[in-house]
Amino acid sequence: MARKRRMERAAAGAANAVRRRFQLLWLPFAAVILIAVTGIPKVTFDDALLRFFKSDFPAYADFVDVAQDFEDDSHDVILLFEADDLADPEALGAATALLLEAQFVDGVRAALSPLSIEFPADTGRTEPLVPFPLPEQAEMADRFEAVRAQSPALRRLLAEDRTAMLAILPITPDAEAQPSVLEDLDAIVAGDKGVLKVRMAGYPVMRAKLGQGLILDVVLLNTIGALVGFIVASTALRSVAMGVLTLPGPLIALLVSLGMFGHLGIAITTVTMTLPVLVMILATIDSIHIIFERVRQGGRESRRATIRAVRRLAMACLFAAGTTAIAFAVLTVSRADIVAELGWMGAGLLLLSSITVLLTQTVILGTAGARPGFQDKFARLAARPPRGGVFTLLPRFALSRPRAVTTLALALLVIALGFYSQAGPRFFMLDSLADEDPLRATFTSIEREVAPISELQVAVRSKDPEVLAAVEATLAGVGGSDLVQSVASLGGEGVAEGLPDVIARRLLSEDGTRALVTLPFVYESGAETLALAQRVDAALDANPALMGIDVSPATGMAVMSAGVISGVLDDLNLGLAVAVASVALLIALWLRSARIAAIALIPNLLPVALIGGWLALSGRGIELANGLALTVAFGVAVDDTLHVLNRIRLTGGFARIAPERLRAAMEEATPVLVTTSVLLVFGFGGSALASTQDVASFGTIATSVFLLALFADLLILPAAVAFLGPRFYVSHRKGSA
Amino acid sequence: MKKSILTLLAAGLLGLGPAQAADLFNADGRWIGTGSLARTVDRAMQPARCEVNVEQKSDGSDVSVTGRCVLGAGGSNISMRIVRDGSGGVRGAMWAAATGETLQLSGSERDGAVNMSATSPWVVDGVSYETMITVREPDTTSFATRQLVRGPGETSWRVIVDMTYRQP
Repeated sequence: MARKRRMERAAAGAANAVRRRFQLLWLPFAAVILIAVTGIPKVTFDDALLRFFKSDFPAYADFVDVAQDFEDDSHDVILLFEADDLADPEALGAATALLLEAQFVDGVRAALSPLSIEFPADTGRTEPLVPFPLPEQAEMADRFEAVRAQSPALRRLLAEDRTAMLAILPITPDAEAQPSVLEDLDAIVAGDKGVLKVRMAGYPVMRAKLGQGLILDVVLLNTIGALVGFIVASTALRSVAMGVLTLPGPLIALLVSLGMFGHLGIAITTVTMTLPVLVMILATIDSIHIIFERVRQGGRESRRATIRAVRRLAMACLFAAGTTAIAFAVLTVSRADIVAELGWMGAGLLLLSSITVLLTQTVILGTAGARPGFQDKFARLAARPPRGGVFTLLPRFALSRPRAVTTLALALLVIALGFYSQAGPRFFMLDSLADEDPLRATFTSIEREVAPISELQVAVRSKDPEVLAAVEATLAGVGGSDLVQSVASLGGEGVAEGLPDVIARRLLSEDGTRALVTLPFVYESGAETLALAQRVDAALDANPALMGIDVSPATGMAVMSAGVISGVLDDLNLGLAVAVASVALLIALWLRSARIAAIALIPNLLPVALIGGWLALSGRGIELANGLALTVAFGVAVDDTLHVLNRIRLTGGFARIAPERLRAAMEEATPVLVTTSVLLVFGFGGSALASTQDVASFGTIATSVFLLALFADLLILPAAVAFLGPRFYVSHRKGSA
Repeated sequence: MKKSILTLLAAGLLGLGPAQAADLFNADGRWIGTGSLARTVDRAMQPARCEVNVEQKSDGSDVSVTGRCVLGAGGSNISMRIVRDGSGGVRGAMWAAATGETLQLSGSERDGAVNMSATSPWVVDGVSYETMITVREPDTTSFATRQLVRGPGETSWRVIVDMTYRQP
């Protein structure tokens, strides 16, 4: 008790010192502004489509082992040609002219299309599939059919009914040069091509789209976040001017976080781009808590009232930031670089933002609040504090039936956790695009009309046609596909010699010691992809013709990403468990009650478990964005719980929780909780409008967690505190009955 | 191993435009060729496209040509230098990145057309071929080039390059 009094005296002394030297607060405030404005011009953006997976998972190592010896498709532009019949000379002629012209675009390194394919003719000569002059439609159709029956390469490029064909244009890997290459290709593809329709797809097109989307999304989301913050604050405080007072802290926190990206030279990615808006929204919540507390200080002198309000809330704000930071910090141990980067950026920015908002709001409220107009508004608000509307019924209901509500919540939690634990990983390249996105439609058409875009790869340290044929047969058998190919089935080693390097390196390694065998397959889910890879590996191991041959494990972008995402999700689950334990420990230390800490976890775990369980039940699986959202949302959702617990603490502590005091604490906390949750739901809900699908997915899942967390905090938390908390409440209730 | 005939594709560049039928070395600027060529000397013709830049040197008696020809599966950078020999004839040298080989040519101008032959046999996979290049003007806005080869025992020439150039 003496120690507590000493600490309180020290805090009061510090507050007095700050009040006496209030003007000096402008110096650190100016420093914060300086950090922001000098860093923002250095901010860069990165679609991180490939960097996403950089990690020390075995699946990534297998992928790199093959990728370093062979050309991959990460810089391939895909042209989809569609016509009633591509054997029609008019359609084929237009496609040919376009393809030849496209190869003159600076940055296009080669072309692979039906025009590239040759076959041994009856004359004994090697003939191009598409000769000059172009034959009549019927003859060309026969030619296509005959070669298609023999060549997996043509089956991958030309639809059986000849209504669609593909051309692969590997372009420069130079990221800065790619936009102009795509622009030039777009100009060639655009315009009337008569009977021919041409669409463009491929990773570079997708990256360009995601890159543009990232910049737009950063602007859109932060604007929505700021507007929602302002509107919600103005509504809750019943004053536009008071709403304006909540803005400086969040806005400066936003600018500082963007500035830190610039100063640290870390590009904003689809994974980290939600951080600035998250920082701003959490800062707005802190700002609203501070202003509500400032209102409670009544007619005290402005600086004194502000410093007292900040002092009373600082610990809760810092703890709230700390718990969210813990959720991020656990991500730093992820074996995926980009997730680890999100982890330490998130943890650092949230702590920095919390300090920034405390400093900024102290300076702004202390200074502006001294103006008579604001003093009147504070007084008016104090006389008629905000209410929680119908939401106040929730804690009342909970406190009338604490046993039933708590039991139901615990049962629901166990069931939801059971389903959540069954959720499998999911990563599909096209999931980065919205369902209605024209680019996604092009990819879908390619897959539906011509051939699957996902590819399983096996590298074989041999060029022996018999060995390669054995590997091909194994893959074809397991995959049930007639699209398996290697240099052996394409006509032997000589085929590669006649091709441009960028194409030949997809069949043979540069040193000529390894050959690549590939199996295109339709992606259904990460789990099925991993199962297919395992079946391929097992079948290759069991093939006696391959004894002693160095054959790589099955890999490729789809297999690798499924493996890495699966590993990352395991990391995230572990991280979530660590975050839960850390938050519990933090609360236990703060409130000196292990029981309250355990109780506080129920309303925070339940929303995460419910959403995770729903993802499993709906068959969607856990994407990386969803997995991150669940972990991060847990950290954010805890914030409101902490503020409720702080309110109970400020109204008398946890040693003896009388029902009236619990009810009073919930009535005080409910308006702030509703305000901040509305802010979170609508502010972060703007993410659903993001053009970047990963961001939209992250926002939707996080928003759902926030919404459920509001109900959990208002309904389950008071019920659980009443039913499972210090026995005083229940015994008192029984005694008074 | 089949050697690419892209070395000879540059022969198509000899056509220096309509104005050059009368004055071989007046061509200048960018020209786009469409037509067909064979990827190797023993293959059938397939659609192709060439883009070249013609640069005049001295008083028009020395022309430098650089460009690129593509087929369905890639292409090759090419360059050429053509010089009037002062006695009514022309001499040339061509190089293609695809083979790294340089081919020497010589010939004459006659009736508004240029005819040149390789000064030595073109050896592909141990087989010697004679090569011939012709340039003519089908109309006032274009020029056409043809390259022909004839192997041992062959009585007729086979066309392996047939391009018509126009200015974009």
